[in-house]
Amino acid sequence: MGTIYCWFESLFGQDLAEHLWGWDMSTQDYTKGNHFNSIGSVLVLVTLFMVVLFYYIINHPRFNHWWSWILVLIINSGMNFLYGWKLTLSDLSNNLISDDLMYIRDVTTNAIVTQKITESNCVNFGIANATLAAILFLIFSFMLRWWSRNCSTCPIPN
Amino acid sequence: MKILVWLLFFGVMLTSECFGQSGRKKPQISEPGIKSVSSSMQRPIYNIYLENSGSMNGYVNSQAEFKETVGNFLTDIEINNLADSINLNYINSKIIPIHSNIPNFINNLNPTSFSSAGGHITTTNISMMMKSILDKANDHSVCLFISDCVFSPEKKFTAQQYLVNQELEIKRNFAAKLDNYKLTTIVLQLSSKFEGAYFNCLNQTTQINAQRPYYIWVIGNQKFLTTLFEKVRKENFKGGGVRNFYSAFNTENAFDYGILNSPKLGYYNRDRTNPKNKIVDAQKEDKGVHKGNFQFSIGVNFKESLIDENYILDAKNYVLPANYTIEIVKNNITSLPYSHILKLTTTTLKTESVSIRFKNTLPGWIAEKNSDDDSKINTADQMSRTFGLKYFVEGIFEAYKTKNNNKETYFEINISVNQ
Repeated sequence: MGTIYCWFESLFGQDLAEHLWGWDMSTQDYTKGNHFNSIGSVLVLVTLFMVVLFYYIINHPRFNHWWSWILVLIINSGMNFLYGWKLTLSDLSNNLISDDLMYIRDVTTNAIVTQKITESNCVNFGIANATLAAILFLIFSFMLRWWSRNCSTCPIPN
Repeated sequence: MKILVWLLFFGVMLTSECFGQSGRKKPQISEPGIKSVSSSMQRPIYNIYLENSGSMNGYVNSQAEFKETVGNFLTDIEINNLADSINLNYINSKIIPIHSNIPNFINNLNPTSFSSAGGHITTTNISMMMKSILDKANDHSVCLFISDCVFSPEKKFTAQQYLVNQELEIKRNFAAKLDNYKLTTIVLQLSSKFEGAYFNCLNQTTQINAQRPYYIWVIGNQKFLTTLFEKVRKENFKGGGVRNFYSAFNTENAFDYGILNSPKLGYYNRDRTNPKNKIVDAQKEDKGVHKGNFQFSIGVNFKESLIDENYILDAKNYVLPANYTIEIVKNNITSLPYSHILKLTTTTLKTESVSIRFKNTLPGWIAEKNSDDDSKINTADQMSRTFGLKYFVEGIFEAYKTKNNNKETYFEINISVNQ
């Protein structure tokens, strides 16, 4: 899962990626647990649910239009954006990210030279999560739409 | 509309779950710099051996730095509660116990007390003194040997013959002791005003009034010596401070190390299955003044090794592949569990195994401060040197090297760099 997220590493940064891989400064190893897997699992489940919701629960002729499909895709991406953003922001605000990933420090004085992970990295991770949610929504739609009674021709007619 | 409200409700639920951080463990945060000290760790007995042969009179003729330094060092050991007990002794041809407290012991350091204490004080047989000290050394004691370490050759030998014999004796005695005990040996070179007769290699006397080196040898279990030099910092020694430092120890204990994510030039990732030894996706810096360079850093913990700081920081003591250069810096970043950072830089990046070997050799100051002929002691060059020092230290170095399976290095780190 992390490998897929790291297609967007240039967007949210190598250091945040290291944190999400589970880097722990005290053990000098990836022992904190792989956050990519947990975030990715939520993304898959939420997106799957949204696709099932659109094609089988809502499943209404009134929504058998590309724009309604787009609307649900945007809602799905928006929720995953919020999840990815707030989760990483929460780690940032609660000092759960290892100091060596957070800062470049002066080796002589221990003073902070640069903060490597900021709120913008968290926003960008949210964007990466939203983008992956959109891609997955598209894939699931093409996999699952065929058996929908009213929306099987959405977003593209057969 | 009903459906949109339902979707909105679902979104709010999901977001609140993420705010609540449910299902995620909060990692334990350890405070760096705070160590738990085992209450069961016993304190050692400190055996102090101060050489009282005639060559030491010059250090105690006046209130010179010698008394101040030795007095403060012993007092610091006492007030820091490092010792279970402190036994004070003079040493020459035999060990002479001095039943006194530290202040009286220091106050009574003078030529009269030296000569009245007894023993054979006209020659200095360092190997014999060292053997007597080693016989008393064990895992529960720390021995301090305070001496000018100037060999006084017996008349039947040439100076060179005598020094070689002394080196072999010292090597043999240390090797025999190290068979049974894991002892660390530390040499502190200090300096004090010397006012009196100096006995040279020909046993001729010269009156001098100048700064002269002397030595404190500390022998004991590494954990006791680490504690000692944590509490009594060698930078804070009174009376001019420690001029030079050397430690010999059993190198079977591994040095902890790890690849750091900074400082760096270019780009790389630690391999997630082998973050200690493998770098992947290595790329050179592609912009700025460092364009074309690749640099990665390794943190190494030398803290408990007791190796001299100057030796650690000297790039000449590291063996690297020809395409890499090294810079060593002391680490003051408290959150990192390493004492030093090794920065390795190359302009010719390729996929290879980068081997970093830290040489185990005698520090340069031993040769610089050694004299093979001190018959002209009054020259400025000779005044800061010690006759036969090299032979003494080499004897110990060779004994430890033999016990360390003749290893030429303290450690070898192999980092696999992959593009």
